[in-house]
Amino acid sequence: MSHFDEMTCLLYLDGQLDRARAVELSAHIETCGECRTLLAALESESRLLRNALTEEEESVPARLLEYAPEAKKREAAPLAWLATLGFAGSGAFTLWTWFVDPWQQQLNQAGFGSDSFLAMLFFGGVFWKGWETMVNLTELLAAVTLVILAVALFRRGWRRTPTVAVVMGALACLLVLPPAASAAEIRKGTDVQVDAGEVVKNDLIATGRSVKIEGTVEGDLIVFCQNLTMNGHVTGDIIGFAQFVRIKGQVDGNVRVFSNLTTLAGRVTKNVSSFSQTFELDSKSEIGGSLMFFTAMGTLDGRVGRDLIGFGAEHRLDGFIGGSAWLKGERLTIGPSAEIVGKTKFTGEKQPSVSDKAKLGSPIEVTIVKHRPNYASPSYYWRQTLRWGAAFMLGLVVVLLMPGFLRDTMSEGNRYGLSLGAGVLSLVVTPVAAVIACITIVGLALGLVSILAWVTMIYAAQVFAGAFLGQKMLGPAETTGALVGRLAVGLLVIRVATMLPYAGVFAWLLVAVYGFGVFTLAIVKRSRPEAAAI
Amino acid sequence: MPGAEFTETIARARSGNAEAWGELYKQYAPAIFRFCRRALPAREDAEDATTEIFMKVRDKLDQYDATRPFTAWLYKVSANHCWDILRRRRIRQDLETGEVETLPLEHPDPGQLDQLLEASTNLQVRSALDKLPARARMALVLRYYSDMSYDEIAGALGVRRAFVGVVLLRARHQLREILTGKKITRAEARGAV
Repeated sequence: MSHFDEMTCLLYLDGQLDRARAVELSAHIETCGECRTLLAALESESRLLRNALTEEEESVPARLLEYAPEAKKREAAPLAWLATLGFAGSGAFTLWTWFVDPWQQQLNQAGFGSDSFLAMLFFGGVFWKGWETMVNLTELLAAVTLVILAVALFRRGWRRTPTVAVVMGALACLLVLPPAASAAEIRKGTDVQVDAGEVVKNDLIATGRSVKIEGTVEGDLIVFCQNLTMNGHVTGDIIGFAQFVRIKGQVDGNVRVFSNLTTLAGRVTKNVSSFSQTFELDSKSEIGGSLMFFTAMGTLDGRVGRDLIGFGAEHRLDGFIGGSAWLKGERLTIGPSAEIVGKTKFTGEKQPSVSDKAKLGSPIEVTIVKHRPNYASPSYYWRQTLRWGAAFMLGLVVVLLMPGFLRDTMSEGNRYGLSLGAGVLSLVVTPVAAVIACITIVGLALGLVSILAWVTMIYAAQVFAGAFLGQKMLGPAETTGALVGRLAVGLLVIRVATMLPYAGVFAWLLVAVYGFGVFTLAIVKRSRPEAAAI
Repeated sequence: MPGAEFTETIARARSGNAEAWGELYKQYAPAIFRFCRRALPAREDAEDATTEIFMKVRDKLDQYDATRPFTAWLYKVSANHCWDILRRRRIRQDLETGEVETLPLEHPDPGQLDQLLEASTNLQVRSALDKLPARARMALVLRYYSDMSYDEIAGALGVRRAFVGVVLLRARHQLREILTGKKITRAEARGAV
């Protein structure tokens, strides 16, 4: 009778033989001593191996028991990048499709020439003068490649990715933007004055408490100050960041001002854009091109050669508009001396008051926008459902792309006070920092990106708040499917809460602050290695 | 950990609760470290691998099927990770391709084998294991440290299931050869230790 081989014996011991063969073998060893010994030897070999392997002869290193602190970080870095890029990208897209593109179309319709809105805002003026010499795509790409290379080289030493991201971003902007008007004359001091009769044969950059131009600047005038008074003559453009701007003299180029109060009483040959709390166009003033303003209170008594576009709360129009007027705001008053050659459009909350004596090229087109929701209309609920769907889609993207991050925000959410505090802080600090960054020419790109990201985050906040709320209501989610379900329920509750009259606004505010807060906390947690420890 | 309590800990860890994750880590890190220590050549490798495995586990916690034993899943993740490390380094890969399957195994003398096992200490077995080719060593660790089934071992090592027995038996033979060689110089080895 032949013996069983070692392989079969091992498989028998490990329970891997089929039943018939196992029965055959067990019958065989009843009578065969040699095979019995072999089985026993194999079994004791198994035992020896098991004992040798499981014997705890050395201790587990303390470092491991405390959990390697950098464990979380390596993975957090790309996530933070992804989140930043994703938010910036989707923010840019949202802003473009929702705001910039429609505006641009409106502007084109309103006859603002062939220049696009963005081009007019940024690239048209002296603001981005450097682009003309710099916009060489290869140079730009080279700069970007350099930055990426630097990033790759220094990556190992990084501790705080977001900080580095910001610094690198700023560096990239520095590389990309050559100093605007580098050949310009620069004047600093408490009071900077260009006296009457004095001629500055160059671009002039002036900073100080007050800047007064009585003479002539043969070039562009860029001013950062508290009080700007221009009674003289500027042959180029004026870019002004000031609390008070008063222009009584003559400007041959464009005027772009960011201020608290802007008064225009002189003559501007080209276009004017103003971002001011109050904007006044004096009856003696004249603008050769178009006027665009964002303001709380706009008074227009002067002459505008071409079109007018205004966004704000209250507008009073009593002057001459050579083209069309398109105004958006709460109220509009058109006085008796007003004359508008082209079309007049108004979108606002109240019916505009138009004087009988005003001369309008065509009857005013009025669109009244009511902010109060119409609860009786089915389309209102349909819109709300669509908005829930949009938020849910964004939530799905977050769940699929960064489930770990979402769970992080959900665990951070248990610290209510801290979340709300962080939310308020980042909601306030981000735009302030962005606006400060925008004041310097170098930081402009960075500031704009931050504002885009901020706007996107306000929207995305409901995803984080919704996931947290859903989990609080239905318990911890074990699977991705359960998490998606909780997200849907949480978002639905938020949508319903924001539909409530009066209380809805506060619900929305709470969601934005809370979502923003947990997002910030989770980012901070991921970027700080010691906090990732258990 | 008792069943219900453990399920809850897993659920909390999944929802991102740091405390629950900490509990899981404290409970299982020593076992996973020992597993890596057996599977990988150096202590430092084992430490790094343990950290990396828990990072993976943390990310993959969603994929764990709560109806199956947690340790089995944990060892599966660990085995895949360690095997990946070894494969990347191509440790002794050249020695163990192809011929293992076809090489005839010499039938042992049960009596001699018994004597050999009788005389071998745990320490000797461990140091012999360190000298084994990566796959042989890994197979023995998966089977006798992690208690994995043949199916699981086949999955972890990327071999056909029918081939697992051959790998295990071949590994035992290699181990015996090393132990036999060792026996001759046993006195010397003891002196060294």
